[in-house]
Amino acid sequence: MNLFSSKNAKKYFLTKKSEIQTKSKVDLVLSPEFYWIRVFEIPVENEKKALEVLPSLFEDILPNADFDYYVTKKEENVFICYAFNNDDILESIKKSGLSLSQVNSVYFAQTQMVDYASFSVDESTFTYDKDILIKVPSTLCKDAVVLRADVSEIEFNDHKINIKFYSNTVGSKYIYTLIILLCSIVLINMIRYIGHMNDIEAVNTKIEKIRQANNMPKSFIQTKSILHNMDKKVDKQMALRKALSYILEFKKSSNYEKIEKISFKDNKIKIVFSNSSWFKIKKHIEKRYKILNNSTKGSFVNVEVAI
Amino acid sequence: MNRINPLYILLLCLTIVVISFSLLKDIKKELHNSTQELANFKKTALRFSSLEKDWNNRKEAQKQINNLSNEIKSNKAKLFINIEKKIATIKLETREKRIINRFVNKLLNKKLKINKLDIKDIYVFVEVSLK
Repeated sequence: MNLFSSKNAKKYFLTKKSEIQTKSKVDLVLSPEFYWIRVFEIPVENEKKALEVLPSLFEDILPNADFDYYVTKKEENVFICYAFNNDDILESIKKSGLSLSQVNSVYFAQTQMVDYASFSVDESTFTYDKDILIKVPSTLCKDAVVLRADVSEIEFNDHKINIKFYSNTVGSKYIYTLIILLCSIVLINMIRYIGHMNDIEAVNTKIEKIRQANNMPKSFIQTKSILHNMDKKVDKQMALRKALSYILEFKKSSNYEKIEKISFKDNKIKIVFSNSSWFKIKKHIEKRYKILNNSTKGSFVNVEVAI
Repeated sequence: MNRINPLYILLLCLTIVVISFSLLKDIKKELHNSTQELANFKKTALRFSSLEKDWNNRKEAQKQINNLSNEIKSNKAKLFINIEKKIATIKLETREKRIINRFVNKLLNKKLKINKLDIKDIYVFVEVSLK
């Protein structure tokens, strides 16, 4: 698949000696120096199936390196098979003066130069021998058409090859396996994330239900404030009960000694003792409470206590 | 596709994986906080409802005040109960010290919000808040 339109691209024949001076987009025709070519009889229906067996067929022919393969069908069960080293091609493209981003499409000369029985480009001569384009010494082919490296006048057919415009020491297969693995991890994490989000939503719903069931205010600050006020009131009531209980523990030393009156109002307790000594009363009350006020009238002692 | 180095895609995927783990960690923390918040809220709600029921319930306060008349049934004592919108006043008149003690005991054991209280030999006056 090519994202760039090839209509405006210039076409160049690329050999290992090529030097191309252009800033525009280019389509490249690779000279036979860049690929190994063989005709194999393979008992399969189509190119796709033939491509699968090519690595084993080329095994004894190719040097020890990484190769990519391409195949075109010649006739029933007969295929023209290509093997090429992607890194070699990239290196030659860079060496020719082109940048990789300029390259639009790449073709094999085998499929694109069929209009010429023999031709020479960049001092190299090529000829078709039994339908296979091969490089020959120029002395062997004196009637070869001399072509410029710029071969824009030639109409190209669809036999483009899939060049990888990058080079990796790690095989793409391993990288893609890793990518699939990482994508699976992301997917699992996304599922877990959504699960947790639903759990949070469920917790919030639960909180809302409890809030409604207990008639609680919507904001936590309001709830806190109400609780604080209620606690204060309850504490005040408990303090009153505790204080009254303590005051009533006052030990009378005679039958005449009495607590005449106890009043509670505004957090203060007023007690009226009769026939008792002020020091005894003070000693008892000040053990726990602060006396705010006191007065003595005859046999009556008035005490005001803060709770 | 052949122009994009799969190593870059791998790097992008690695970044997304790192981000996904970070997001997952954040949401886990959020869930943990929410769960804790729920536990705390349950406790607060329980406290809120019990305080509301015991101390802030007008009906319950009225019921407890009315119960006082059943609890202090005596020919020697007169109990006056007056319930208004915001307050209730209770007055016990008796010359029996025993009845006064019993009444004060009963009153103080009830969860009523006492605003005013007067205890004398012959009577007890209480003002209870109903708010």
